[in-house]
Amino acid sequence: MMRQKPPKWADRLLKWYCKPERLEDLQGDLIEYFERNLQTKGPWFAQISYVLEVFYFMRLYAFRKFKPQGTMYSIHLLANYWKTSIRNIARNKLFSTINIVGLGISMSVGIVMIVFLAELLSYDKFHRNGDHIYRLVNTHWDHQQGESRFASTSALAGYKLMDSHSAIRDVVLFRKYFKGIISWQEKSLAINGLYASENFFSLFSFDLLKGDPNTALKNPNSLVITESFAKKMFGEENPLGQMVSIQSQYMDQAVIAGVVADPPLHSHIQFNSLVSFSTFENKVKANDDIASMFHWNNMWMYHVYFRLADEASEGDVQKFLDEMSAEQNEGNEYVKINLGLQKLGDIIPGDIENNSIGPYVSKKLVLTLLLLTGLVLLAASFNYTNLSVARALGRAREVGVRKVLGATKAHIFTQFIFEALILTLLATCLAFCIFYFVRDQWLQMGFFSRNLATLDFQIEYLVPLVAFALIMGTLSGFLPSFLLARTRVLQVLKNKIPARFSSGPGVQIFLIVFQYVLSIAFIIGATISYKQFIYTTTYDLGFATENILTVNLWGNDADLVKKGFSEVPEIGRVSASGILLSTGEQWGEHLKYEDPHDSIIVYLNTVDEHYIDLYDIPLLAGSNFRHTTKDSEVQQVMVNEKLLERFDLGTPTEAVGKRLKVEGNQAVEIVGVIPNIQYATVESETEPFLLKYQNEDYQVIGLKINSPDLPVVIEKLEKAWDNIDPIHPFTAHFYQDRISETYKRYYEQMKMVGFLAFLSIVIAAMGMLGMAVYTTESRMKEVSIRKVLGASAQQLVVLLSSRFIWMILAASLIAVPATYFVFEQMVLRDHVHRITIGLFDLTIGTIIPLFICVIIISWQVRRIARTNPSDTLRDE
Amino acid sequence: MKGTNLGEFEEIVMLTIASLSQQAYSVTICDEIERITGRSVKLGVVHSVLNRLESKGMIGSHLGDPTAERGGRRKRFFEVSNTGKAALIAAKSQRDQLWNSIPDVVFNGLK
Repeated sequence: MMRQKPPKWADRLLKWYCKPERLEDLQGDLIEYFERNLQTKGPWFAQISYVLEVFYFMRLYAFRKFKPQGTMYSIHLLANYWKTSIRNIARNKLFSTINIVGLGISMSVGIVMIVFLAELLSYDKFHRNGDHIYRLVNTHWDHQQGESRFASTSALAGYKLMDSHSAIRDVVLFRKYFKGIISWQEKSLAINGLYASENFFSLFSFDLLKGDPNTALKNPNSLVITESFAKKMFGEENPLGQMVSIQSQYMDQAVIAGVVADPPLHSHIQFNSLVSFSTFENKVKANDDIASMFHWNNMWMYHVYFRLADEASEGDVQKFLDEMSAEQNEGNEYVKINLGLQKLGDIIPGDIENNSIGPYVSKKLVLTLLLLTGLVLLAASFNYTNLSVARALGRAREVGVRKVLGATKAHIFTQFIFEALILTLLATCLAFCIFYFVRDQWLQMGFFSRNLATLDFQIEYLVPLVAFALIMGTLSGFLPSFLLARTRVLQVLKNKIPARFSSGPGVQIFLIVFQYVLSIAFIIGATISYKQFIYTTTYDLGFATENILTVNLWGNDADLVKKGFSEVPEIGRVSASGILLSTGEQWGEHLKYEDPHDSIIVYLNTVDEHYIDLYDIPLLAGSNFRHTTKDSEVQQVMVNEKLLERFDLGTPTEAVGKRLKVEGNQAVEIVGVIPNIQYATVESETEPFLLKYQNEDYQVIGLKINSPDLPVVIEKLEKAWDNIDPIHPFTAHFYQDRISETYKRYYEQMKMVGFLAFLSIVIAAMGMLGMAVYTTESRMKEVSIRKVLGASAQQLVVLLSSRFIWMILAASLIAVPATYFVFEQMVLRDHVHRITIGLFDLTIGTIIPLFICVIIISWQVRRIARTNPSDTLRDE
Repeated sequence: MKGTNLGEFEEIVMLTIASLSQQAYSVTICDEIERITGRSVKLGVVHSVLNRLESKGMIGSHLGDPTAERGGRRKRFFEVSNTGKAALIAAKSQRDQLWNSIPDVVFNGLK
């Protein structure tokens, strides 16, 4: 039987920490005990108690003195490292350039992300009680559409919160979309903002420059304007206390009760003006609209914020909210609304996109961006690792000499990490230049340009930047430093090549394959995104949009504007409508047929009698709207086929003349049936919807332009507009552009992935160039001999490139299925109308790197081919 | 002064060393203390006490000759130094004095 021995690792640990002069007898004692335990208590007990004793001996008296490392790195040594590193960087110009440029480009993306992230994290941090401020959020469940979360809530919830719970302080109610025209003396300006309740200034830390924070938003018809708006409106005069007249939905005059500093950019609540909530409240009371305006289900326009008392817990309030929700939802089987809490700090970046009050960035987007950037950075750092490991042989002798002269492993490791750090530092400088150079390009990407971030580099970002550079340097330099530190002196000084340097180690293959997996995935991703973007923007919507200009009405009378525009001779048909279809806007109303309990939310658009002619919408049955006045009792609607199916209205011809009931039990008559044209965006299926002839609630006008000379027409239109409404700007866009704007997300996604694809290809190509140069140089003799023996240039290309080609193919084996899976299962899954991913999309990602690889290798081979073999082989 | 007074366990260890005369090394000290006092003693504790006493100059130590046991590792034998002896005697005389001054009635019937 083998003799039992104490565990080796415990022995090694003891040896490591113990004073050398103490080690012998300590270890002897332990072994004596071990053997004794072995006989009396068995091997298990002996082993365990040995380990325990080793740990038990870890006491001050037993510890050896560890040499403090710092003193060993004298300034002279560092100076020497500096000199060696600089010389090496200068000597290997190609490799240094590849590394600095590759790292620089990818680190510039890293800097953008650092700044972007820092800005996002600074959102809403200026509120003094920010940690205690919460917002009410709603989870809306409905039997048709399931569950979704909204940043808005009902006014009722806000009221109920106000004086019901002791932990809840300073409740502030908002209502969105205050819009109007403000006039003072001779001047008129368009104004928009929020209705806000009186606690606004005690809850939030927006800076009220003039006025009393306690009463500014208390009385009805009080208006608080921002500093910049005050300057525009009143110039140098004191706005405080001025009476202004306002054309808006809920008031016709107001008194300026305060001037507030412009909201900081990094605030998710943005406004030009604030109107006291009581203005709206009073008007609603006067109109007897309270039941509908403050109904539990009316949760689309209101936002509620409050402060939680210091000693209160979220759980208590949540319990209170749950009870309130349960009470309010009782009896309603179709819609259930549950209240929840959201911390102010969780709003940006956040996870509730619907009905956000201001700018919004999702956590998902931020994480995705960070992940992609991280991958590109990794790819660039792998270049350094790879090239350095490949060239480590050249440094091995230097390391050998250093070791002979007394350098320890730690010294060598530090030296090469130091070198990597210097290189990264140079790359960081380059990255910083690139960052400033392309900052504007970044800002044009949608997620920055929605007034979300400035990408201004603040001095305090230097700390994360330096940390970032250090991490990059250490990451890139770790493996080569580690390998070089392990160099065996005797081997390298005897000219024996250490085995791990000569043949490419597995790690190196892994790194290269990783880079190509990334490149291939990005290329495929960009291709698919591009195709989807083109597909979506050119999708057949079922109605005509060519040469149709859309003009915002800004609340003007539609007939007046239509008349004004019709006088321009180049204009064909003109039609007013509530919204523009297929651009993401949706209006909804409850609709019933015969069964009073079967109601659905139906989408609609309010249109005039020219609508279907202008947009070329075919009629399946029935006729166009008859022109009527506003007061006619039965409204006319056109419905789509989906709606016929939903309510079993029979064939289109049968459906014409039937009556439906909309909100408030008003009857509407079907005058026509249209096909299922694309009401919502192409991302979703067409739902039942109707076109309602209403003669009011128009927001936008569509005009057919029959002239190729656009600038002239637009100028004429602008003149016509200014005659009608001198206050609001003439805002016109082509319908097509509006649609493209809606799908800008795809465009941005495509641009982003495309940019990263380009980056990763550049990085991979540079890495390939470095490796190719290295391979050809180190195989110079072999190639020369082959040439002498009659190998052709093609054969040499095949010889030298076959390894790379295999690696690219291996990478594509990983990348192609992975990307396919990601796009099929995650990105494209929610799209109803989507492209099918084809063979071309999947292969293009492999073909491009292969192509680049062959070009680079051929270039290198031609370089060798031109040298005379006798020059290389002369010494043999 | 800290150095001159002995702790209870220190005293026991020193007395054990003295009683074991030439054979006093950590393991035997441990065993002996266990045998006499009946309480189980951790090797690590004994080591740290020995170390402390040595640094106070109460005991001295030398390495013995290597033997076949303990994997050939030498033992560190301890002996009480003159300072240590003086301290032990001082401690004993303090105690004796105290014992002598106790009236007989106190322990009457217990001895």
